[in-house]
Amino acid sequence: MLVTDVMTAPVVTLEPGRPVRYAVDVLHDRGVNAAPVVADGRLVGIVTRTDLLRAAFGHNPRATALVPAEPGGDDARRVADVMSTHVLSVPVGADVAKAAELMKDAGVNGVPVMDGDRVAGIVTRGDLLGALVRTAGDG
Amino acid sequence: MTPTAATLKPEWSIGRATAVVGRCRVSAAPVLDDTCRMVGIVSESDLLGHLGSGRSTVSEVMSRRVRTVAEHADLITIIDLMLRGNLTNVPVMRGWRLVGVVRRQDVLAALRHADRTGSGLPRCS
Repeated sequence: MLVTDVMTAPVVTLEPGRPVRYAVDVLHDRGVNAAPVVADGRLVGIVTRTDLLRAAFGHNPRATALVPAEPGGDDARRVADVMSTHVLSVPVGADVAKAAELMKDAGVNGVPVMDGDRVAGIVTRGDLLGALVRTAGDG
Repeated sequence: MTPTAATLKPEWSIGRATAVVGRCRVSAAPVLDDTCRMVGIVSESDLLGHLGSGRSTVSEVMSRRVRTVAEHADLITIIDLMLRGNLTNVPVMRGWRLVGVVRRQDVLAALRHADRTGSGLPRCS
């Protein structure tokens, strides 16, 4: 089974210059846990819900227990400031086992699927489990 | 907090657990014994990591040490736990009884609401 058989596509992406608040809205509205960050058509990072939580409160939530009261507030951070730039990915021709191994080794819940330089989709642990359920059902 | 969408039993097969977790589209599920006490938690990575391992039941793959919060815990406590423990799901307890699970999306939704309304940070509810 290939990653293209189970991945989500098209994939929700973000631009690095967007405000963090915008990223929170997008992940909420689209119901996704993570979004690849794309600049000029190239994958430059990935933002997860955990990154956004960390952005809201820093590494010590008890030290900065504030959400800016004013809309827009003084939080001028951008997606580029909170994303992970070391992004692991798999190519469109990869087997799901490769994706599973990558996620396990790296301790990530999802990886973008690349068609050359273009983000073709995203595959998550949930997608892999869903595929296992369907495969078992067919057997 | 989300009312518990999916729970597992320790004696269930990994296959059955995978079906429940996969169909409910949760990233982790608490494990309850016959007295409804939570005895562990199973994540997607626990299930994927044990495929072909020879382990056959939920009890063999679950994490027995479960970090939880009490009902009415404040959001800071939950966020602190999620970030320190790298957790995506935190079971919510009323005494010994599981009453729900807080997910990252629940926390972010609460933060968005607080941000938009200018209200204070809510408690787990």
